[in-house]
Amino acid sequence: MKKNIKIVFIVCLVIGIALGALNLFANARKPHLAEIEQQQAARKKALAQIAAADVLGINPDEVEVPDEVEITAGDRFVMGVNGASSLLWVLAVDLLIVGVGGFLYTAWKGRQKEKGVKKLGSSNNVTGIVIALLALCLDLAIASPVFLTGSNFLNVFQQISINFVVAVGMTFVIISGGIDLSVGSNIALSGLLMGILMKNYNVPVVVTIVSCILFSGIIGLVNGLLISFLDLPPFIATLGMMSIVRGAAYTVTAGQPIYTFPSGFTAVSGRVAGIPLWSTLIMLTVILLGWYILRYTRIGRFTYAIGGNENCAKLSGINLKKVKCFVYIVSGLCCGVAALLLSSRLDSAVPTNADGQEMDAIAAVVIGGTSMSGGEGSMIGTLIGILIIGIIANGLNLLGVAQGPQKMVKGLIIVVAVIIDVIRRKASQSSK
Amino acid sequence: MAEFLEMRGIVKRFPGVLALDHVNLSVRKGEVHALLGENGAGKSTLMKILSGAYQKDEGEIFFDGRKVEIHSAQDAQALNISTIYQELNLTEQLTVAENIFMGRQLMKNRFQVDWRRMYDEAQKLLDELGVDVNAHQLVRDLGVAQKQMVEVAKSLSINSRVLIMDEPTAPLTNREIDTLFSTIRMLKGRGVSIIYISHRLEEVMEICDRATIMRDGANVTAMNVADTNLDEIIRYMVGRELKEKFPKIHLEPGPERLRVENLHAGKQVKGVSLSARGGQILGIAGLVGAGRTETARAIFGMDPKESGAVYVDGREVQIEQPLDAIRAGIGFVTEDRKGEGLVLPLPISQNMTLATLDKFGSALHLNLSQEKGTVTEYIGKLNIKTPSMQQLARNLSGGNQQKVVLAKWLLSDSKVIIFDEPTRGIDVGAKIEVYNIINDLIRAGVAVVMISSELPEILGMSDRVAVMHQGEITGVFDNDGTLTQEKILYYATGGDKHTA
Repeated sequence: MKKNIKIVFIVCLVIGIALGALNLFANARKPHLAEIEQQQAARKKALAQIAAADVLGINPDEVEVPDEVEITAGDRFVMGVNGASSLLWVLAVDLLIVGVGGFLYTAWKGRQKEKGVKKLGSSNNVTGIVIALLALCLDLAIASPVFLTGSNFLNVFQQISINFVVAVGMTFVIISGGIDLSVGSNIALSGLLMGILMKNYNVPVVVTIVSCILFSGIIGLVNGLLISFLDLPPFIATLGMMSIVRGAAYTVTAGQPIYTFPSGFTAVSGRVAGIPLWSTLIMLTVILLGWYILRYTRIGRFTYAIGGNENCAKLSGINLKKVKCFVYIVSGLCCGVAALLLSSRLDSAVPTNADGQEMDAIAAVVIGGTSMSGGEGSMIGTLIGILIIGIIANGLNLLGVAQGPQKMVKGLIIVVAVIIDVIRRKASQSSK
Repeated sequence: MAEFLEMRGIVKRFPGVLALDHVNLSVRKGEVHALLGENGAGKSTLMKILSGAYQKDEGEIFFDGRKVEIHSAQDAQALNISTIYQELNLTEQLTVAENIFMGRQLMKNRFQVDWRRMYDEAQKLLDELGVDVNAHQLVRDLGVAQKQMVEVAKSLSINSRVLIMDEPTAPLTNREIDTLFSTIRMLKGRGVSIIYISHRLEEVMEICDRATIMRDGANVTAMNVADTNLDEIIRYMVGRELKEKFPKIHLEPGPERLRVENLHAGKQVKGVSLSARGGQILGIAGLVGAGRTETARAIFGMDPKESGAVYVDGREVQIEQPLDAIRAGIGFVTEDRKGEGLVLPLPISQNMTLATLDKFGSALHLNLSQEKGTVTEYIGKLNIKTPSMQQLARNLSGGNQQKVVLAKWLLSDSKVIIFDEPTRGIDVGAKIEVYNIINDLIRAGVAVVMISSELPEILGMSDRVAVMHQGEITGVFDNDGTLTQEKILYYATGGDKHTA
């Protein structure tokens, strides 16, 4: 087992280096290729002149036709390499990272073992995904010249802002051992209500925002009540809620979108000195608050406890119902905030808004190392998970991948993340 | 007699640890061979190598005179080596017969299962064992002892020649243990070799022919059980002389701290009344199913109760849920350490403080450094062996896990602590440490209620003993030296109802 892994690392290193060398070689051959191309072009031009002369009935003898340049198989190959240069670079860099990283990791682990340090808290296990995130950024920087520009960063930032806020709430729910599928519908309905209140009833902006965020919290509370008092499985309760709320979103405006909100409202997503100041502050507040609650409050600790072992939590005097309601309320409130960010940015609200949002949020949380079976996970992990999801989506857009394949990639990432979660859990169980 | 199974010079390395260091084990045909050692001595690792779950790094295994290689569970099965684990390996929703023939259903032809023959064969096996179980029953409807017998029947059905039993008596009552032992003797008569792992040395003395003792991954000695005694075995196991198995202290009884009157809960608790004093240990004895654990759970609010009153320090307290009990000053160390005692994916520190978080800062801010200080203190106090307080609870050994659970309730400043099987499944050394912790508690004036299935423990540690039978208390006695195991058993099986 151990040996096999080492061989994999060595193979990665070798192939990575080979690809890199190949790329460099192909690059070095560029002048030669250019020469060939020039000659070919010249020949083509000459042939064309002859053809033209033929048509016009002029004697083509004056035109000197250069010899046909022979393009060797090697040259063809090098041309191919140059054509796929960025892809190959990405591959080479990734393989090198896997190879070098793998060796460093095993060496580090070996030293830890010697020191007698067993596995520590899983919340410290974010190193792996940070490396994945950095590798991803490096890849995209190679593959697309646009990636590292400031305007693209703002772009990514806007794209992730909704998922960012929703995933923070989802982290609470998943750590507690539950799941919330109703987040997308919740955002849509809350956004429409904001529109209705402001446009149809002229409710002041601040009152609208506060009341709609609270309304989203109440949807979460209903989820929590169904789950804690009626003992419904979270999956079923929130699946039902997802459909009910989405239906309500279609009903309140008879399926019609709402446009053009008051300027005070859209200013939330507006830019101050080129920076989306307010939305940034909102996102920061949400994640810092989430991090603080999980780490530094009693109810945060209880969230982990009920996810890790409900019986033990109950026996330790924890009010399970209260904690469960709490996590779904948090998730609901986050949806309200997300609805604010989304509607103010789009300056509109549509019943189909945030469709499939639950997938992105769950993916971010799971990629961030939070276990689907509860009791493990961290806000920092979620933050990185959000960035990974967002940057992959951005990269696929930059590379011109269509919506269909993008969805497939996203699904694949979730599956892979859960596989990693399962493998890690198995490993930690067999190590005891 | 020839050696039937021999493991020679077995070495197993885990990264950074030498788990087995040239261990030898030889078992004869038709003998019951005890494998003894403290937790972590390497017994399980050795047995996992024999059953194919682990691969050995060095050494040889001889089976029936031939050298064999066991690379997988299938290899072990082919040699007719089977294991009955502590956590029984049965599918609850299936019938007894289906479990016995799991994976080897008797077939009429390629596609049809021969149900009739399967149930007949299963019933025959069960009857042979003298077990009162119907092959058509669902396993989930059986008691623990019956389930274990199903496992034995299963191993008989595959003609086991070597049977490994890991702590088979832990969940059993004395009567059930007797049945198990007669079964073991029957298997022995048939020439089956049994490797018997147990922490209960009295049983080892009773049932085993020879014993191999391990300590820290190496052999200490092998001997005939008839030529040795308990003290010698313990000395070999722990490598030091244990002065007393039960470090009992005698204190002046304090005031009554817990009184339970006429408690009714479910089918298992029918009018229980109890009284426990500060500075004293009240032992609760009884057979499995007598309602001891259920009584404790009802007092603590874990299960609902129909009627009855609980008084702490003379004041009646209303307990609807565990939180109420904790607020009233009652602590409860559960018998199910992994299922209820610990949050396995959380670190030691967070497990310890889970029931007493309100001591550390306010609802809006936990004082982590204060928590850290307290946890460090208790890790030292209870001698919990761990590299760090961030170690996850699931990575600890049984004894250390139990200490973490104890620490949780020590932190709570409870007036009354109920211990349900406090030393189940932990090794001799750790047991003494647990008893000393209990002693510290009664010195501090706490009233301790100790439920235990081990009568020596009840007699060795309690000041008073209450005996339960079918949800009722059949007798309460002072443990003044005249109380005997026989007397307790008499009351545990009905007591004065015998004559009535």
